[in-house]
Amino acid sequence: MILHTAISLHGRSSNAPLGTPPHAPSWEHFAHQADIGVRGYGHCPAEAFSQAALALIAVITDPRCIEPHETLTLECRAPDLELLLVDWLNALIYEIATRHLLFCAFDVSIKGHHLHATAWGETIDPARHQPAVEVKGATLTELHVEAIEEDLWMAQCVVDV
Amino acid sequence: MDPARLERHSPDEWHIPPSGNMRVPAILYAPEDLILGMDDKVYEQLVNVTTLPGIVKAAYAMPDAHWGYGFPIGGVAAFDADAGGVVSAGGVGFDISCGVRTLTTGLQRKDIDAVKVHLADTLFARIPAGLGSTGILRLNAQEMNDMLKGGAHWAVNRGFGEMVDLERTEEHGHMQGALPSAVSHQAKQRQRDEMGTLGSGNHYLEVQVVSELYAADAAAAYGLHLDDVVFIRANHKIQSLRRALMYFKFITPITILISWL
Repeated sequence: MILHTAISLHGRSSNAPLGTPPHAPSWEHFAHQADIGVRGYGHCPAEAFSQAALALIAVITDPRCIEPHETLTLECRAPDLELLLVDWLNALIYEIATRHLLFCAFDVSIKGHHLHATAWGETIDPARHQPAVEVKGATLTELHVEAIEEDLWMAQCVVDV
Repeated sequence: MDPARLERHSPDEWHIPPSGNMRVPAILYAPEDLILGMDDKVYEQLVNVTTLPGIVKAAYAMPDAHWGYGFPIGGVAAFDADAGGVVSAGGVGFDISCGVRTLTTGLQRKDIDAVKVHLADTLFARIPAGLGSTGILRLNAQEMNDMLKGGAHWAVNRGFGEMVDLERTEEHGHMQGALPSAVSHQAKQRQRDEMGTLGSGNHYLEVQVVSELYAADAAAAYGLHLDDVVFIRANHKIQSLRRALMYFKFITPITILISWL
């Protein structure tokens, strides 16, 4: 299982100090030689997707410095849950690139393989957000969405930076 | 990667013999210390490549091989179209349209030594780069299609470069048979704001000095001499479109710099 080899590059969210076992809700990054992996944990797939999205934002900047001034709704459909995660992250990457937005909070619901989400955030302010990189796309590499324990879902993939 | 998993054929040549679904062997070229430093994913991905239809002779890994998407980066394979061969996007590489360009400046180290801090600040201020940056170019849908079809020729025609720049660009800056209609609306939208910018992420403009010549004749052919100051644009690309444009190879942002210089 990949969990044991995971290293945290930016740290988990504040409710998950380093060295603690995975728990919901939380997110983390995992190493990839050329790019970076994003991973979310949740009590259900929707919460894991929401946390994976926070991990995505955390590749660019500290989500805690983003203000929820704007609201956006997103819809995604895919043949299965794993491809739905890729579509979801790519939908966010598209909004970041074309609307110049960064997000700090997500409300995700998943029915079957249909995702509906609300995202809160604000326009990128390079001076304040100090964006480290642009995430170019979510990939199928290390793509897993699964229940790793009872009541604990994990959603992860490598993103191209 | 554990060398014990490989058959050693020479100090720098290692084989993975075919087994299971492998159609051909995998061959790695690297000294033992580089093999030891390679990620196990290189082994896994190389073996996966050997299972692709139409593969010829072997799947190869160069000494710089590392974990990629589908193919290892530094992986090499040939596919026979007449034997059901495939075109693999991972093999072509998702960094297609990336490249490196060296711009000669006509300046020498002594010309910029006194002003290099100011030069760096000015370049930083004048050249849009990084997430959220935008350039001065705003293309409508028709202009975007013209740019995609015309490549660097389009940029030169718009006054962002000179014909001589095209002579030093792959395919002279223009791939034949471009089909802008095959590119999605979303991909074009993502490209719109990035036109005329350095891009973001791992893209750099470097000011470098030629400090040593290994092959004077080759350097002269490129117009490079000792102590010359050059601008190097690394990993520039039509970034957002690259996934859609597996067959386009040309340069746009660089031409902005040429005109500025």
